[in-house]
Amino acid sequence: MAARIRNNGPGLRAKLLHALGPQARWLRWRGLPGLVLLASLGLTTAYWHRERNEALRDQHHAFDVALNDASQQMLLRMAAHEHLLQGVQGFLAAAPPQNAAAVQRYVDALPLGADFAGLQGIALARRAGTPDHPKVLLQQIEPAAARNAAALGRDLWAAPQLRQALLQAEESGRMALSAKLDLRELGLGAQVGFVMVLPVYGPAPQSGLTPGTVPAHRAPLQAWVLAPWVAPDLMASLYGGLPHGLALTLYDGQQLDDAAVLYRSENSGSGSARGSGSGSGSLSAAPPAQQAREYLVIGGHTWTLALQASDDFAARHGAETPGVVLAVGGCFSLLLALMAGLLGTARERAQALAERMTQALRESEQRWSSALESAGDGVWDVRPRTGVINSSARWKTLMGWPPDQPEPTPSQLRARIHPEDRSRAQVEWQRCLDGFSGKFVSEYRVAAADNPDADPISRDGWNWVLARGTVVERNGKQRPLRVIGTLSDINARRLSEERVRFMALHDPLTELANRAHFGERLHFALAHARRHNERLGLILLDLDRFKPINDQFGHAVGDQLLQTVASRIRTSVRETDTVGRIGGDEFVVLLTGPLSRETAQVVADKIFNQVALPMALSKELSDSRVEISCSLGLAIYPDDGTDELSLTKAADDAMYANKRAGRQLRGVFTNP
Amino acid sequence: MSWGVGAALGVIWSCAFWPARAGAAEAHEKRPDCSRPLSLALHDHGLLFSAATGAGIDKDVADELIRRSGCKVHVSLLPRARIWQLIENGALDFSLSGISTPERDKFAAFAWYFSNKYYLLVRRDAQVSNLDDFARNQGLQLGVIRSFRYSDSANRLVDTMAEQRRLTQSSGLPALFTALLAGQVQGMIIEPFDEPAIALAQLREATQVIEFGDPPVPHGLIMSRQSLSEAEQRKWRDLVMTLRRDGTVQRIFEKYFKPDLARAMVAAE
Repeated sequence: MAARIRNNGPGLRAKLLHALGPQARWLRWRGLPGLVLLASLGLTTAYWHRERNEALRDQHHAFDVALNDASQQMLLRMAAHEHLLQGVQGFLAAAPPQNAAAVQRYVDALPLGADFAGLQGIALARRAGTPDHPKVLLQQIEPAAARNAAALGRDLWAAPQLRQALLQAEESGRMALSAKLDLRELGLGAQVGFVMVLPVYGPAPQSGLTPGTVPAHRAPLQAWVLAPWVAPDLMASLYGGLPHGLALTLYDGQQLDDAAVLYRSENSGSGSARGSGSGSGSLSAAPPAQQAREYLVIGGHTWTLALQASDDFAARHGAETPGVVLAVGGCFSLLLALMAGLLGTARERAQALAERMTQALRESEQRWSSALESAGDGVWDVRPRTGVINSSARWKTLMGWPPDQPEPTPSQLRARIHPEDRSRAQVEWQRCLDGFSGKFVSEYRVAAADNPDADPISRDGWNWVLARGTVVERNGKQRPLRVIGTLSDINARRLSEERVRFMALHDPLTELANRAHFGERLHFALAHARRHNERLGLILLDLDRFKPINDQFGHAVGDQLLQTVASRIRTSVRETDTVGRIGGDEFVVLLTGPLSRETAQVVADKIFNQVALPMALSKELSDSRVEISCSLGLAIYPDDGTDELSLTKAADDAMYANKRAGRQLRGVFTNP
Repeated sequence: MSWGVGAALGVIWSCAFWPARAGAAEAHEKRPDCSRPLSLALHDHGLLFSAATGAGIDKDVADELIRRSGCKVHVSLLPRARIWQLIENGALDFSLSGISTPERDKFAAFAWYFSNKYYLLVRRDAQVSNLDDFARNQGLQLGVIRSFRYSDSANRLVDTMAEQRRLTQSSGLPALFTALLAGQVQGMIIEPFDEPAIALAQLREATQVIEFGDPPVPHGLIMSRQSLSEAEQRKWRDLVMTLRRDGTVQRIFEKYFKPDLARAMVAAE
């Protein structure tokens, strides 16, 4: 089924998962990791179990091998010691009886060294006494050391342990081992130990068995060969190098108490306490797995070899491995489950993250977009290399671009910028792209939209806008890849600024240059005329009897009159000429450019005639027709004056002369 | 003429005595090779051989084999585990009353001369009525002689005890009886020739016998494959068969067992 799903593409799989809905989600988030964890833990447990069993088997095997080695070593060593005595036995059987010197020579020739550690000597004992009071006297002991010599003549029959061994050896014809005894009591050694006893018979043996065995008819006993052994020395030479973690104790007999200890290795605990074995018949507790004993039957006597293994022994045979397996397996299982969970839910989490990021981005974009839109600004995003422009609707509106149209190309955008502003804006744009300025800031005019809903503020079909932007992305060579900015409508501000500037220089009623502005124009015109040796004309104009008209018709009519006069004067002069209002009803005209007295007079006459034309002024109640005249005074630079004062005075004198004359003259300056 | 008579007499002589000489030669070929001293080890085990008395079934069988073979054989007394080691590496030629196992068959050949069943001797206070009871009770210890193997069921019990660390080893039989009476072990595997050498009444009072239910297991002469060729093994096997056929083995067993039991143990296969 899985293959079919795969073959049918992701669509079917997606549908299937979608159909499963919450179950699929549960499977991915909990089911799969849980399954993986269970499976992994199961495998770990199985492997731990196996390792534990393996480790136990290894420990048991190693322990069993150690026990086998220890018991075999003991049996072999005792067999070797028996062979030694059998050699003496054979020698005595063959040699002339009572040849002590021969025995001495024989024993001296034996390689009694470290391999026979614990051997106190080789002794001969013979029966003495009476049948009622039997004795067995020690007659010879080699080597004849001083301590050994002190034992000569001792009655060995008196020691119960030795008596039993002597009897057993005589009856069996084989080596007999005594029970544990204190050799010091017999003068045969310095510590506790035991004695090996072999019988020596008179006649040669009649069977094919080794010398000393009892044939059917028992031969008369000649003597006993005895070998006293100090147990600790013998055992130490045998078990000096036990494997690490093992402790060995050798007991005489099968009663495992301290009194029976023949030898205890260095690392064994004191005290056996392993059941008294007193024959009560009670069930004794089974020894732990790493503790065992083995019965060694030697010379008709039983020794018990007890071996114990410590935790150190177990550790040396892999006891710690299962724990490590469990710990590592458990951690690995958790990691695996975590990975399974992560893999299973990777797509979901990635999608969720993408959704969150997209949502955050969308919200951020909406916030900024709303903020900018609320501020009335448009947003633009330009890729200079490709020329692709992305923008908001507001930007299109400000640029006068139809909102339903795709964004303009860069050339179309440039075409919409006022020709006077285009090159400056381009320079500012390039400076930003090149990095010479951190930001792009430029004010320019754009063509108003060709639609009825266009901003009505624009007067001349151009709107002032403020474009601001910054390069947000550059490539490795610092070439600009992306510029983002805003576009603000500053038309009102610019017009307002122009208005303020205009009002600072012009008369608010007539919009003619005010006194200060006219004076400045006159100053610069005079400087220009002086430099270029040109003529200037200055006409002063005063309205005749304006005040009575103002009083009669009111200030509104008076203002209209003044505005009309101003307009007529403006139309009478050239565009290069300047008209100003310097008083309530006083006007002034500056004539520049190619000029002569005659042409100036013509202009003055025209002004006079235009002002004198009747004016139709509207009043609240009815339209009124008003006629007003003016008095003019004309002065020509440099003829009538060479500076502002002299020129103004000359024009003023000429105006007053005309006014006094009462004639409607044109400002001809006459000297009375 | 004289040479003709002589030749005829020679022919008649050869014809008369040729079968006898051939028989003698044949008999000579059947005898084992005695060109070197051989070695045989006994182990101290009840009626088979007692180191204390120097007597036993295996001792008698060994004597008879040595006599009939005419070979010089050194007989020694060794622990059973050591005997198997030496048989395996060829340092020992013979031992007696051994039983076969797949592992032993690789290094040892056998010549059967008797068979017997095995029994579990268990303390009464162990409260065991069958083999499963013994196996189930974790507090019970089984005593065995190191390297001994038994019948199939007994071997299974021994192996189970070994896995559960409930086995106590011994190099000799007497120590196991002592341990059983002392309660140091609660069970041991015995055969009819296992002689306790301790107070029998006390032992009978304290213990009971449970049968393994297996058929009798053949015991025989153990021959080292390492030291004896196939041909020599055949010869020694034939010698043992001779002892059985002529009743020698039966007579030896009757020295130690009642006739019925002896007959059952030495019955030909």
